[in-house]
Amino acid sequence: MINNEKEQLLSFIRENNSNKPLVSNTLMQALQYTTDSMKAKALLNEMLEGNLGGLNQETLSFIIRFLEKKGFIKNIGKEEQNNYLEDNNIENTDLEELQELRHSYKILIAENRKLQENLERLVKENQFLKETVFTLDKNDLIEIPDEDICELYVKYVTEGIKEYKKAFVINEIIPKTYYKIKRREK
Amino acid sequence: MTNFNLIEEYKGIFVEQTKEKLGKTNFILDNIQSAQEIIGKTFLEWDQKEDIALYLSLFGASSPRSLYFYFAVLKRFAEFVSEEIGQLPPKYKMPNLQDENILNYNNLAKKTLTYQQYIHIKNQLTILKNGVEANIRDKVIFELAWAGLTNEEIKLLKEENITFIYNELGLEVAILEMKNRVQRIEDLELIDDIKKCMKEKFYYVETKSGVMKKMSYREVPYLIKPVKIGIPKKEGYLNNPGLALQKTFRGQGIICEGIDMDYLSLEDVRRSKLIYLLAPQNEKYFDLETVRGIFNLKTTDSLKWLKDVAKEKYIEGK
Repeated sequence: MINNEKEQLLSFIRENNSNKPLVSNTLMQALQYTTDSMKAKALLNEMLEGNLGGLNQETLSFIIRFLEKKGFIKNIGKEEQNNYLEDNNIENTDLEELQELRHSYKILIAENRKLQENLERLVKENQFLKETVFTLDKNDLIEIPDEDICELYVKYVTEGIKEYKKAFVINEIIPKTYYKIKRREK
Repeated sequence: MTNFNLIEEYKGIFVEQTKEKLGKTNFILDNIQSAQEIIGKTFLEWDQKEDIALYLSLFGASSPRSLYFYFAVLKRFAEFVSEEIGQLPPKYKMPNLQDENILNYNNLAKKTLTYQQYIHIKNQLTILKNGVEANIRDKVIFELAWAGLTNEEIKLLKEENITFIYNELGLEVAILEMKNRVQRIEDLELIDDIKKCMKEKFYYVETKSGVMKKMSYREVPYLIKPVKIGIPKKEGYLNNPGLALQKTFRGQGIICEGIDMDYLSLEDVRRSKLIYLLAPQNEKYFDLETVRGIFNLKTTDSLKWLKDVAKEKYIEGK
């Protein structure tokens, strides 16, 4: 297969000998997919002299696929000649697709960050709730003497005062007993 | 004489008098302090190569160039303190900087691109706006660094100093005339991108809310143009193309496996190309002398250690 590909390439160069810029530009474009331009130029010079020794199998196969795609040589249609372009995702240089991928990547990163923040918040809340277990203790029960309630009742109706000693008015009600919520530091 | 507090005593006055950059100098002086503690001698008494080697190894540097800098600061500081306290400055012995205990080859690997990685990043730098390629400027900065131009050369490259010709094979070539040298560009895609960059009128910036903002370039003679924002600078060029590119790397979330994109500088990209040319499989085409010429270096000394790095990076079949 290697010999076959080498022959194909050499015949492309020979057949288009009269149009040097076409041969050079086509081969240079193909080479640049796998090789830096400085080395590609050196390889191109060798190729034009009929020396393909500098090309490895991978590059050679790629050039043949490239020439087939451009319609310079006929597709020899051998399955075993792997479609280098497709196998190596060269088609994926499709820019729109690349941008789309990049965009979804960014969204994923942002979502991940949000989830992470949510998780951290929930862990904190959970920890806080764990520490805040409320049990009824009669010692904590605050009971207001009847005299204080009477006093506040009169003050509220006449002067609008809402608090008197430990008694208070809430929603037009004066509670007789209540518990105080004890807040802990987070 | 074992005064471990010399650094603390003279730090402030040294920075003030020599006008060194504060953050960087503090970082270096901190490492001198740590090395003192490990070696058990003040920095004025470091008379062995090993002492200097230990001090330099604390930086985890990835190039001899930065090590020379750390060595130079140590020397300057030692001379300064010696004069202040009235004694002769120490004579430091330079160790072999390519010693793997001093240079951090792992860090270097994370900043060295292969050709495939270069192409991978370059493709990500291509963005489309209404079906047309946009922000070619950033891509060109990256490509020019790979072609061998320094940050300074990219910054000062004027459009009038770029000529397009056809070579003997019928291939288009761009000739870049710079202050001290001329560079031939034979990369067809780069030539095309330079032409597009010359015509480019707008630059798109993605705001934090994800909206694309269109900004005009300033009309300046330089290839790499700054955008119209703030008060125009007299010089007209984009102050730091490398920094602009790094912002794009971050803004566009550009990734490349095995490469620390957050810290990839133009110098790293340029060095990567150098390493690529020095790879064993390219030896036939690029010997040390050729590479020296391409990169406009005075000697091949600094290339020898990079050749070893290239061997590691481009092992057969990689």
